[in-house]
Amino acid sequence: MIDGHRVALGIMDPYFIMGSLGTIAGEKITRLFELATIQKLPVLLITASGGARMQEGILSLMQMAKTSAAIKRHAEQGLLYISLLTDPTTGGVTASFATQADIILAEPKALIGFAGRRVIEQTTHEQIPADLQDAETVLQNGFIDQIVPREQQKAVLSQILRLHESGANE
Amino acid sequence: MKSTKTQAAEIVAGARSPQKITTEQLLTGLFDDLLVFHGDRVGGEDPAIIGGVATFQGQPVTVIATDKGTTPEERIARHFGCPEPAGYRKALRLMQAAEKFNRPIITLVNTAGAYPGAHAEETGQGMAIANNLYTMSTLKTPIISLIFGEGGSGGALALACGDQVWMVTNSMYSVLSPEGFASILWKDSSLADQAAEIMQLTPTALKKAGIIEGIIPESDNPAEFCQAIQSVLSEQLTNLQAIPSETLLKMRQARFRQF
Repeated sequence: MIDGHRVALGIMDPYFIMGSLGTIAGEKITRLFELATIQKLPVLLITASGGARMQEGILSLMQMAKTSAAIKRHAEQGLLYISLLTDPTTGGVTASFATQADIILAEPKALIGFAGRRVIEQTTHEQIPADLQDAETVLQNGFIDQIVPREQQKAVLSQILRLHESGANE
Repeated sequence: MKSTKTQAAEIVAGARSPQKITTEQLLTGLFDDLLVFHGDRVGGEDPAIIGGVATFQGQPVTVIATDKGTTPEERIARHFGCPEPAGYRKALRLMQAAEKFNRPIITLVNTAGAYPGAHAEETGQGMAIANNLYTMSTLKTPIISLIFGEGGSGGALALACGDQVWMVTNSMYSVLSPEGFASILWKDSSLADQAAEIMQLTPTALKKAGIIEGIIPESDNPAEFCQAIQSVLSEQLTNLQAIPSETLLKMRQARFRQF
């Protein structure tokens, strides 16, 4: 509940293998959306991840397709999905559920991107701007709805939920 | 153990071989009347992805193919076959047109991955891939993919998340390159061969894990090779087109839900 609004909530933990997306994380997120679809609930997903969990090989890649399909089914019921991107949100998570939300929020200065800085610099042999993957830059490039500092998040989330309350397809 | 290691490393080399059949040879060998369309309708055109409409055994299909290029100029312009967001967006809008006009989609994939560059980041690489995964999950037309060289991570998945994925003898599909795996986990990219061995990236390993539908034997003779691909695609397209679209989408979801 956020100010009396029921919401299905998922929070990624960057202190566990850098919040990487493995089969269990992917399964939990998929089930979160499946449950929310059945119970007709909006979803709030707070992301923090270094990307796919490479130790799990191709199965970690499959989580991107699995979660995407569950989110699409949730969306088709007219249900709201809000993602809140925290530092860092990168790789396979940026390339799947983090950026598939109706409303994408981010924390100030959060690192948000697809490829890692080292990989980009080694591939292109060019230095990239220090702020290329800062939330503020990503917002300027058109991929984030709002940057919301932590102390304002409850109020903003509450407002979003209130404004969407009568929106779902019955 | 030793022979498995050699095999995986050899398959990686074979997948990346300069002798590998080119995208152009495949397009010519598999299709007639190819009409190529450009642009993502947002502001970019990425030659690393070729897209258009063609006939496949007399039937109109939408074709999406990654292209590494053949001349040095082509290879540079195509980032060696690594697409930028504009490429994924072009692929998606062409796939949406396929749904509208009720054409099946065939994708041909040979990419080390989505291009890691500053411009790609600025134009939304992550979101471009995410949009493909999201939209393709319910696109109401059959989607068959062939990985004929490298299948590099999300950059390959964004074109291969449909109903079936086939691979060829010398091809690989993985969440990152063996060099990247060795460099990140063992801090030594020269251990790539050992990484390849444990990464389960060969067609045989992936078939066993249920990630792909099957393996098409590769031949040095392009005509023979195209013939083998054609017969698989033809049979599978017929099967998929006989399935009502609601059932097809349920099967597509179940295909990924099992992982």
